[in-house]
Amino acid sequence: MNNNSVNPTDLNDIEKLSAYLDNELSPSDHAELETRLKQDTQLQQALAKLEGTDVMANEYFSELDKTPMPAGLEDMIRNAEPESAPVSATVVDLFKHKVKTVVTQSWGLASAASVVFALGIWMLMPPTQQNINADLLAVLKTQPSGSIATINSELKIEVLASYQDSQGNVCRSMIEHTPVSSNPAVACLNQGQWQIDTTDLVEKYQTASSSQRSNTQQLMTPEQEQLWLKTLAN
Amino acid sequence: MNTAHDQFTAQLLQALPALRRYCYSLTGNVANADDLLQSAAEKALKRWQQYEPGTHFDRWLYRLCRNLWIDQIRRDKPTEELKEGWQEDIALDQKSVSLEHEIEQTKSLASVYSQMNNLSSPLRSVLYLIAVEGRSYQEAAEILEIPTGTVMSRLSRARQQLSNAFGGTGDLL
Repeated sequence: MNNNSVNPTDLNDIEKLSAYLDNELSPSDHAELETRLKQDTQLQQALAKLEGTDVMANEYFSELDKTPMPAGLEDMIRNAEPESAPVSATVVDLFKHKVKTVVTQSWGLASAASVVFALGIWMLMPPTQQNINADLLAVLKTQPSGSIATINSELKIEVLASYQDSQGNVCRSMIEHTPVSSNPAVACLNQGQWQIDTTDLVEKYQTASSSQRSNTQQLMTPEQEQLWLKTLAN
Repeated sequence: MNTAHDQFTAQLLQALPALRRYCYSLTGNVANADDLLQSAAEKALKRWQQYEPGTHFDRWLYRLCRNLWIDQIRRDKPTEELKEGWQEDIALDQKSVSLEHEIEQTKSLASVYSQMNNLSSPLRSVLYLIAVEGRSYQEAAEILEIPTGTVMSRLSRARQQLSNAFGGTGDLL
């Protein structure tokens, strides 16, 4: 093995060969590796072996296509009725930039926590979204549990409880009341940003009297909540 | 008639074969992959309004699918903490290393398939996204919600482990 040969213990060499296959090396690394490949048969063999794994991977996955889809799955999709209300936790990342911009515009947020809304039904109110976001933020930051805040003629926010989640973030469970429905939501203050989650709330959202509260979630007493709200106001 | 919903279901139907293969890459088992696919389809239909038309439908589906799979792992192994992806990554990698001698002695296609199944779920899913679907490292990183550097290292480890199934000289590893 000469000095340019692939080093069996050098993960960097293997990573570079792998990335070379995918054309993901920087131009300089690409050029350097090509020079070495021209001179080093062992390196060429190593590259060929890695390349061969892709062929096998393609065969492995194409085998799956030879088996039929789960029975009834396609019919289930074709016949599905549209759900009326969207819910998700993973939607946070999808909407982060868009909603963050909206709230920043409406609030300025010079001294307050910024807001990331992962909105479910909240996203369905575009004409007055900025005002609603601002009003909702105000509710989260000022209203004690048990209170109901009227946002407008068609929207009220009932704050249920405040608690700390397993990561130590303060969360506020609430219910959004509209003329046609009541939807639970949880807002958590995480690293200065409010994140609202309307997903899987059976497990997440807390009422003041919840008997199924997780052991990892600490419900705030009214005194603790009052102190925390004062801290936020400052 | 709900046009938006109809478009969504049409997209979902079209995406099913690739989504199924992605499920297979996560589970390494056809039965489990089909169960995961079914759950993912049901969840996607339930959350269809969260998808923003014009954005990457497949990435949205894959993330939803991956989250379901992680939830499943958590339910099955509630005492394990999952960091950066799957904690069993480490355990299965160690398992693969212990199989090296066996694999080096078998050069058949079956042994390669066996090795594919023995790859840990994170390694196999990265391999699928890049080697089979031809995605960039950046795209894979976004789908798997990991840094591109992690994509690169996982992919090379996957290829490295698989390359032994070809009966290599051992020079590479």
